[in-house]
Amino acid sequence: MPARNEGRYDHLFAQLRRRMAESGEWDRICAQLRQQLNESGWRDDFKNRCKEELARTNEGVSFESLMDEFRPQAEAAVSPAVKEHIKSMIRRYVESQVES
Amino acid sequence: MATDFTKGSFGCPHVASTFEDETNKTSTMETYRKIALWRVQRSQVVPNPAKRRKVSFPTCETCSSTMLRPFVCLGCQFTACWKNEHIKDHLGETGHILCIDVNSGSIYCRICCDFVYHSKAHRVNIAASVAAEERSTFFQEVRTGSREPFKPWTATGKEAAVLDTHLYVPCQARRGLLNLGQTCFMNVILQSFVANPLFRNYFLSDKHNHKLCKTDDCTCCELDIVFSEVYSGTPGPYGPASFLATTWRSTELVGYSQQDAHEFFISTLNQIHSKTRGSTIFQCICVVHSTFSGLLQSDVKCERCGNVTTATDPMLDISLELKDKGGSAVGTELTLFSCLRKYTQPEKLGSNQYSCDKCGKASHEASKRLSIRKLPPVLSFQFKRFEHKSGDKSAAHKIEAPVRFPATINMAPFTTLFMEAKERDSQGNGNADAASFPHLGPEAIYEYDLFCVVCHEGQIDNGHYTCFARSHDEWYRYDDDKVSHSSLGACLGSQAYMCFYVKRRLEYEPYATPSYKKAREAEAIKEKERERAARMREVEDDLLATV
Repeated sequence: MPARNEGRYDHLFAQLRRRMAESGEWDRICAQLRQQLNESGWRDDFKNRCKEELARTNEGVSFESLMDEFRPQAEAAVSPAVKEHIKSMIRRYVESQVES
Repeated sequence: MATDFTKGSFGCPHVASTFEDETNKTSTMETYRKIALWRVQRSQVVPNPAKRRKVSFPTCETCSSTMLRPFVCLGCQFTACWKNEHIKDHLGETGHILCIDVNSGSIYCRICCDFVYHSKAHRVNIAASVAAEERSTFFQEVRTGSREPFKPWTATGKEAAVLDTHLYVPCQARRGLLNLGQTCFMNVILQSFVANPLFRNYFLSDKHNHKLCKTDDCTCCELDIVFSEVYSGTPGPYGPASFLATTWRSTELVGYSQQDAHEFFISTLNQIHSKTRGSTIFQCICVVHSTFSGLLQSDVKCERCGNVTTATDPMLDISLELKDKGGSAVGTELTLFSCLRKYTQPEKLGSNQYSCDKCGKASHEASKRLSIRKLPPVLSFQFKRFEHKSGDKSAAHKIEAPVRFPATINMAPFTTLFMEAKERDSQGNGNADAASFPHLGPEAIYEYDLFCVVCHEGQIDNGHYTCFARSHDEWYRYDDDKVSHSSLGACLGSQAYMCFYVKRRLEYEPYATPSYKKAREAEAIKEKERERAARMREVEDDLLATV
């Protein structure tokens, strides 16, 4: 019964998300991610790429078109080490919140 | 499109019309105030996340999901999520035009189909953020009323009249500096001073007028002259000959040979400080110390008895080693972060370097740890690239390895407060101290933005200095008299020798009575004295009348 299972997980996911936000865990993981991305030069690299793109085009580029263009590159450019570290932080939190 | 720069307001016309209507303007500013408060409370710097004050997160009014990136409609305060486009749907359905991204304070305009800029909204956002941060800072007691909240200056009365009669002259404030004979080391440091927002504000507000100063060989006057020249609007490079001459007369850095830029930097700062009237040895408020002065704390711990001896030293900049005692590890990338971590790491002291006061033995196990007790408004880093072996300059060599540094840096993890709080928590101390520091202030007070990078190419005695400096959000490269538009990427890709960062927020001296309060108290006392004297005279007059 896929429909019922989906609904159940949606509810769990929403609750987890709320808890993660209110306890500050989401912000903490986000801050850690931001710091690691900054340290690895990722943040400055993409800021630079976006600025160069803006300088190239004569008419204005909208925020959303910039996002559409750079999001895939940006996601791919995150170092595997950072990805793993953040994923493990999330996994640890989820495991602490869910009774097996 | 409103583009009248002199009226001080330009950007998206739809935002502009919001500010033209009084009721709209008031409710908009109130919205900014509320979201700034929420945003600041959410981003507290907390060494122990478990102790963070709980912040309630709004849910999307359309889909009820908890919003990590909430948006608020400016027309009706409707809150919805961006991810599922519910805020855009709302704008379309209601005909409202603008909504705000709570995390950044940026405005999205339905008609422009984009995030838009408007100078007034930008200013309101910053003002609301600063006000919210003031209320929740760890150090300052705006809450208890010991200091008035910050109000941005607006011209009134006479000032406004004067400003009205003045012509606004466009000035890029970027001028090349002529090389007067191997003086590129001086030129890059002068450019770093020109790009320094605090120095710029000091000299442009006439705090040291070279025409009024009576001191001879005053380096501060020379710097004032440089600022006047750069901001004169005269095109073409300027030759800082009198600055150079004054340097020759005041220091041992004489002659036309290449000097070390960092040495020149420190020497010039000391010159400016000593020539400033009223400069003091402790807690000096001259422009140099107000701008660059921070406090470094060193804690020496006796491993045997745990006794910690603390000493603080003032500092004007931070010099970072690039090599370990055994040479840096192969494969590890050199970054500003890694250098700072090494700088603040506990370091084992040699066996006879420390003898513990408490347990009295010449301790073989002592460790020293550095941390930043007070962050300066402008943080200057030097990467020690030039190794001089025992004072023999000819045997020196340069470390060419590039160091990666960021455009913004959060210095919280390297501060004494943060490091101590982390230590306390890891030791499981649940005492009153730890609880009274639930947070160490809003994130913004620890953030710094890069504004100048000094680079060196070539050998030690046969090299050339150039620098990059930022003007708003654009980077320029300065090569003596040649100034060219560059990019953040080019700047970050260069081989840096010195980096200058400016703090995003400035603070007042903590635990000090503000000078305006002292002035008010003094005035109140004088007033009482005057009244008392007047009454005494009345009494005397009455007595005389009866005689």
